[in-house]
Amino acid sequence: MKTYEVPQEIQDANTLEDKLELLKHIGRSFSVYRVDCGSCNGCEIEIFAAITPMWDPERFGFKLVANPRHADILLCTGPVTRQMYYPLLRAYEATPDPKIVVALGACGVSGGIFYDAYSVLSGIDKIIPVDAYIPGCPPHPASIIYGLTTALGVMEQRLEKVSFEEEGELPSLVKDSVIGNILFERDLLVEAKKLMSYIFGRKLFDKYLAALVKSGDIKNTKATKESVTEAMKIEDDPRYAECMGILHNKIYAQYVPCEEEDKISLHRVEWSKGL
Amino acid sequence: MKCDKFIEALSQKVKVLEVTRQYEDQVTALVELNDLPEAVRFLYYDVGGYLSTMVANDEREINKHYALYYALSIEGGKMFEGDEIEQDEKCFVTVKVLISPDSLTFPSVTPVVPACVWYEREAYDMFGLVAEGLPDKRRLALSDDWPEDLFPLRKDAMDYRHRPDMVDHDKEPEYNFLKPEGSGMVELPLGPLHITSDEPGHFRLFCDGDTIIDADYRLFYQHRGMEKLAENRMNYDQMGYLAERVCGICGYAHAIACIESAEKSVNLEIPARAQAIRIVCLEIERLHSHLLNIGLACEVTGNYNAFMHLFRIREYSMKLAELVTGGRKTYGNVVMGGLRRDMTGKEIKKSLEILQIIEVQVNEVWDAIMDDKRQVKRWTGVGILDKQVARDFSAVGPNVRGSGIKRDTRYDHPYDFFKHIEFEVAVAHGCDVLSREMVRYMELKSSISIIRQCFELMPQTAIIIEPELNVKPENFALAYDEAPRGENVHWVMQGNAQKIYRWRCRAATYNNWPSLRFQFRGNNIADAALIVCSLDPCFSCTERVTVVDVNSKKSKILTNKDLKSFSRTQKDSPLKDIRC
Amino acid sequence: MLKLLDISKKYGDATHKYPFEPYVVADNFRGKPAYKFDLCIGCAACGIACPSNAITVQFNEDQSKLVWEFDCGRCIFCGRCDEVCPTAAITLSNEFELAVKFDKNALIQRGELETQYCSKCNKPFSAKRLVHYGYECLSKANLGEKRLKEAENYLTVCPTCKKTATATSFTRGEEMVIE
Repeated sequence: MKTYEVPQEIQDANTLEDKLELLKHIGRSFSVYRVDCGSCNGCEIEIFAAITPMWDPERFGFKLVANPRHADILLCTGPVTRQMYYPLLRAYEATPDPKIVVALGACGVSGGIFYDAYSVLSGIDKIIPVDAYIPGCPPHPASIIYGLTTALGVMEQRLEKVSFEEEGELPSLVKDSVIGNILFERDLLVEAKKLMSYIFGRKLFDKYLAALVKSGDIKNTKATKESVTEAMKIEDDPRYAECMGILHNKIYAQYVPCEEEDKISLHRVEWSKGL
Repeated sequence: MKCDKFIEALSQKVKVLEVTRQYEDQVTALVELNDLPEAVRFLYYDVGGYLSTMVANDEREINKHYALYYALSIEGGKMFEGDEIEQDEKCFVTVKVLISPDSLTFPSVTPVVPACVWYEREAYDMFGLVAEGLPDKRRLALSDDWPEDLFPLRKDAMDYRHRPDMVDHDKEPEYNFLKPEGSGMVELPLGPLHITSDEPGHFRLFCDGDTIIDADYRLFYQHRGMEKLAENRMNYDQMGYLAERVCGICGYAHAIACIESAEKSVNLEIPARAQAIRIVCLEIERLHSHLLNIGLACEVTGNYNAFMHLFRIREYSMKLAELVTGGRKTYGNVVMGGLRRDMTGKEIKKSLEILQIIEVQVNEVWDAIMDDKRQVKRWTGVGILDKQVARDFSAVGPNVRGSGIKRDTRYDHPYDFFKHIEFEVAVAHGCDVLSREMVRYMELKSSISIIRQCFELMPQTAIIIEPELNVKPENFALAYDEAPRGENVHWVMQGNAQKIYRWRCRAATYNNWPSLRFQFRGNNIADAALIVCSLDPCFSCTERVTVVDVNSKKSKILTNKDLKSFSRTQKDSPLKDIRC
Repeated sequence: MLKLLDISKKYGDATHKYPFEPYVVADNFRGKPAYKFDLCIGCAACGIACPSNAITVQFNEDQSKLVWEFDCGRCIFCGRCDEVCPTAAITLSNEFELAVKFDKNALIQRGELETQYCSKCNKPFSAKRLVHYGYECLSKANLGEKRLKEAENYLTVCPTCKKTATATSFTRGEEMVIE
């Protein structure tokens, strides 16, 4: 599909030298014009948040302006919808040369989750030349401030392309099972994730397993019950405590036959330190 | 069972061909094509319903027809005390019709129920279904340069990645705005890129001197083609992330509604803890959205001081969101069957601390704003949304509650954990910007109390269950929730291979736009930005392309009313918002 | 009006010092996914889960390597990759300072993994590390010596050949064995 070609005179006025020259001059005072090319609004709000006193980018001379003709920097968000294609170009051509274009957010950088939909053109740089990219969905106000200060040369760029081409030795990824069957650990982790989601579930898994190992004899249901209950008592967080109990009753009991009395009572009062 | 009563009443009026039940509170009645306007009108005005959504669907693969689903929330007209249906009888009744692919036409419902206007125009845009009798047949959602005969949501029309050629950028097609007749009128364009509005939308204000006589607008600058994308590329696990990105502010509400409609169509009940945390996140979203809107309403009237304070407080709600979901936007949390992130005791404790800060500081700032007579005067009597207009156009959210109609999905159709929560529906009767902001302030307070109640009652269950995905193709259901801007309704029809057949997302603002021109009329142009702001519009939510049509019958009656509230000149305006 | 000024006085300076002082995000913040190449087994779970297709896992042109590639510019920071990764090779970090200048390629991370060829038809079908990982799991899963040996054979056969073998042995009425 044929899209916009940057006219020769704009190209000539926007060489890298020109831009670096401009950046030198606007180091402490620059005007930014926002162009929303069909973003979900998340990036707009974060820009808004970034220009409030909490972040106060006027410390670096950042100023939002109402007209592209006053702008040094175009801050573009969104995957460029068909209908915003024309206004974007109008804004681009109206901005005085040389101009810096910043693409903000996953959509602006590459189209984000919408990258191949029929009504978008997959990112600002498919239409006009872009000088700086600020990924994030949406970017944190701190990311936006970092991005702008990086573009101005105040901060250093952190990321660079990383490519690994030679494989090293693969470390052993599978730990030995505590009860001699890794299916136990597998089920345990699955259940822990169901109970407390993947982030906290992994912590829960570690906590529970540590408590189990501490009992000394994992096949001994009395010992494990005691050890897990003890761990639940000293646990600060009531949610972890109750989930350790649930794991014990549900998964451990599947692998090591338990009597009813070997199960842990889940009544909150017994260990809760109160919320 | 629920709904049976209404179906019974409907079958007295028109011939009901088939009744199917999707969920305990959702039934669908198939009627003859010619009975469609009468059936919808009867349910809307006689029984007492509001239009929740209208879905057009290409069902040629299933039954060789196109189908239309008019989903009505049966809750009573709510125009006066007692005009409301019993709490346990409120439900959703959908009127379905089939349209033959040979005729591609259906009788328009808009002349009898004005709320249908955008939906019917969109049906043409996306499917080429023509509403006979629709006063305004301009295209709605697609860009101006879109080929005339290409209807993207037809299953056989095109690949979801197909991008027709753009025209040369100097020759951008002009949009045809509706102009009132008469001389001496000034046409004032606003947008699509305008400093007072965050997002692109083009407004044409038609003015006599400083007074707005009428307005027309073209939105859908942000049509991204999500519905087609979801049907083709996404599976159920990924859909939630797409739904979130309908809107950057009320994204969570969209994700919940979308995922819950998929869950409802397979009759999946999620764990209680997940329900509670879903509500916590929804209310956090309401906190930051309302703080944003009250702040902006101060900003467009020049009260920067209050705006900055509200944004300072808003940062606390963002912190809360970061704590609960791991990002400042409540993104990336919802999956079918539950949630992806639990709250441990540590998070809950910290959240309660932050809530305390927000509550204290919001009260302080709001008192200071209300003490400022200039600010209050600037909001009073501006952008009147007449109660009858709100009723006719099925307005939602603080917009409708500011006009004295007690409509709140959390109260009408309690979803998830709301069955266990007590809260007051905030209603104000002034119909103006002040009332809407009052409603938002009251909701801030009730949100804080709702979050606290959720923490107190937090159930000890798992956070997610394995969804049984033996889905039955062609099953459909709708799900709803109360986003900060009002009711979001999503409608999902199951398809094969872990994909959906059709997803219809109706954002809150979609129902609020059509009545905006009535709110504009008779106001000073300096207030235009304020009026748009008080609607708390979310352009990207609306997501497709539209202009409001002149509804000849209704607008005649209403113009007179509107003219009465003509000309309230604000001499003390601290800021001229509109630069002509 | 003056009340607002009082509030300003009460709460004082609210501005974050960032970037002159580091900004601390919340625990479990969803920042840039960090890739540990040494742990990656090339199972492509992340590539399948990724809603925005920011992660791709595919063979290079001569099929000698399986290339894992991540484009941070398209990433929506949902953390699905973290959730599904069996070896914790990709985890969300706290990093939010992601902007790059002029060259978008700086947003890319990639890793090349050795290809596993099918022991029957010699076509590439997976990464060597995945096969190795599969074997390691099985060896700790309480299997007998003989079953383990069989499993080892299965692991190096591509899905197409497995299907063919199943169909053949099924039509012959034999128990399926791949040697």
